[in-house]
Amino acid sequence: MNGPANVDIIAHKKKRGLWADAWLRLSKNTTAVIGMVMLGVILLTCISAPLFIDYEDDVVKVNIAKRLEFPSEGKLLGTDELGRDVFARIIWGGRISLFVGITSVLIASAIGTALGAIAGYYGGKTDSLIMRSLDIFMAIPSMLLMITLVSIMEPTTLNLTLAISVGFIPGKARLIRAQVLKIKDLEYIDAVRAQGASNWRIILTHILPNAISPVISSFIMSIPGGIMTISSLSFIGLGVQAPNPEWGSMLSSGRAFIRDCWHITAFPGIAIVLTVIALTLVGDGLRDALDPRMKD
Amino acid sequence: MSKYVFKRLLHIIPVLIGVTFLVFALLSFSPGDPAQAILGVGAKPEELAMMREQLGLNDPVIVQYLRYMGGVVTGNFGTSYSTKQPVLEMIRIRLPNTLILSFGSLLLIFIVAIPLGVVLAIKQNSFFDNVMRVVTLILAAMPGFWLGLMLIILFSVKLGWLPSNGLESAKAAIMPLVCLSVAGWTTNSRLVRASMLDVIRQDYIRTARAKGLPYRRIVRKHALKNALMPIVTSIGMAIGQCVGGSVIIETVFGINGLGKMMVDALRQKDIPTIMASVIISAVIIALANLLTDLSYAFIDPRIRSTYVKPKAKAKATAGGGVSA
Repeated sequence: MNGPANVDIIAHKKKRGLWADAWLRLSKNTTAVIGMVMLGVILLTCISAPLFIDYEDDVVKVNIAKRLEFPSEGKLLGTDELGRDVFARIIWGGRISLFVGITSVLIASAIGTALGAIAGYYGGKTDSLIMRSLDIFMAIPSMLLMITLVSIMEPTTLNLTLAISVGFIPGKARLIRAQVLKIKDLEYIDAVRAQGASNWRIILTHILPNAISPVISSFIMSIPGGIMTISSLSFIGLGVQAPNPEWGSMLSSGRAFIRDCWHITAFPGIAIVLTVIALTLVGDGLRDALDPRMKD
Repeated sequence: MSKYVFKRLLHIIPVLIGVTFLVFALLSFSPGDPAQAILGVGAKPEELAMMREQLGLNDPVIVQYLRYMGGVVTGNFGTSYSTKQPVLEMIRIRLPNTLILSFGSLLLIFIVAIPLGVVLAIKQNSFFDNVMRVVTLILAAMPGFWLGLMLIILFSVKLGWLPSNGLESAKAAIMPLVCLSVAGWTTNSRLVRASMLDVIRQDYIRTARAKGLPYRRIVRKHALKNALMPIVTSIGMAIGQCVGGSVIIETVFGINGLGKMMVDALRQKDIPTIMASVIISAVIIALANLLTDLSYAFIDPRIRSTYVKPKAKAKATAGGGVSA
């Protein structure tokens, strides 16, 4: 019933309000704040690792004389089967795990959003073509798909990241497609189209901003999956290659010494658990904060 | 209904063709020579060339693919490059272990998750609910293979209660099944809790209580059936996760299953074995998805009606959308 100018003002206010409101709700959510603090500490430690850990000396240099030492004052988490400091390797491994986890989900979100938006907006044959092709990827368990992809490529960090992102694309595309399907029939889209906006303009500036909030929370919530996948791949020897540390490959090499030296396998796993918990808390908080219906 | 089932079964065929072609093409273009893998490092160039000719590796990829699929359709999955055994025989030996792991963990998920979710919903915001929220958060954050290693340290190394590898006895199956189903416990118990909370707030539950029915009976007979709908969806997804997850868990516990066979085959570029594992897992997933959709229809009469006249239903919703 409002004039176009009025609608514009209301829409503008509402948009700014949503993000400010979401931030306010996020900062009031105790568990989300705990998660953000944990995640902040983990990210900061991993990013600043080169400042206090020497890669050549502490992370990869073999020191047989000091092998399989239990945690002590000098070596916070002990040493592994080649005498390398477990703590230094966990921090450095976190750089790889987090990089692969975050980047792969980021790539998948970008591609998935594009495909899902196009499929949902154009519908018909375009939709069938895109969604049926993605069904092919969903027809194999994602773990098997990634193992196949990884094993036929050189296991570089970039290739691993790309392979893992493939597994996330169908889910992201479905998510955004469902959103676009809901939004594209709304009256304001008809109004924009009547004003002569092109399809691309409608998708990019009028549909996506309204469809994006579930993508943001699902982005955060998928990162644990990315981290678990890279560690699983490294665990079966198809991921990050020695001597580079990665949480999964550390677990795998510690397996042989599980009988006497539990610390080599226990600590990298704890690093995964803490990181995943932090991401889950932030992701849950973000989902609740961005969804007005979840206010209670 | 049977027409719908038939149509869905037909839909599996293009997906299978897509999956097999995708994997076949990826394998053909990847580095590594199957002839080398068969004959070993010491093979002479002429022997390698002969082997390649024998395997048909010099033909175009599409010809190789069609030849392979022609074999599959007639029940011939080929011979493994690395073990020289018929692939079908290798699968026959390993399939039981993988099925025990996949379906055993699936069963375990629902035995644990449904009652737990119901109790959490009834005792919403109680001390138990809050403790379980933290416990499930921690359990969900554990990679299955790490949990497996920790369980081995505790129950096999320190306490000596359970064997750490194989799947020969029921005792040996406990740890692998727990590791595979933990992720399912956490997500599904949360799902049951949420959907149960939705249902018990509805009017017909209040009516049942007003009639004076015992609360336990209301929960079991009236609420649970409706609350289980979302769980059916997650059954379909859990099957995929269990099949995929068993690859890693088979490695942790040294179980001779399909997943381990596939990883070994991938390392040796043993194309017939890889293809067969991919086809089997894709068929399992496709059938699971079909069963999931069908079970909706059996549980909920409202959904059953949509299968009868899909076109009329689609028109009705489209019309409703415009007028709204």
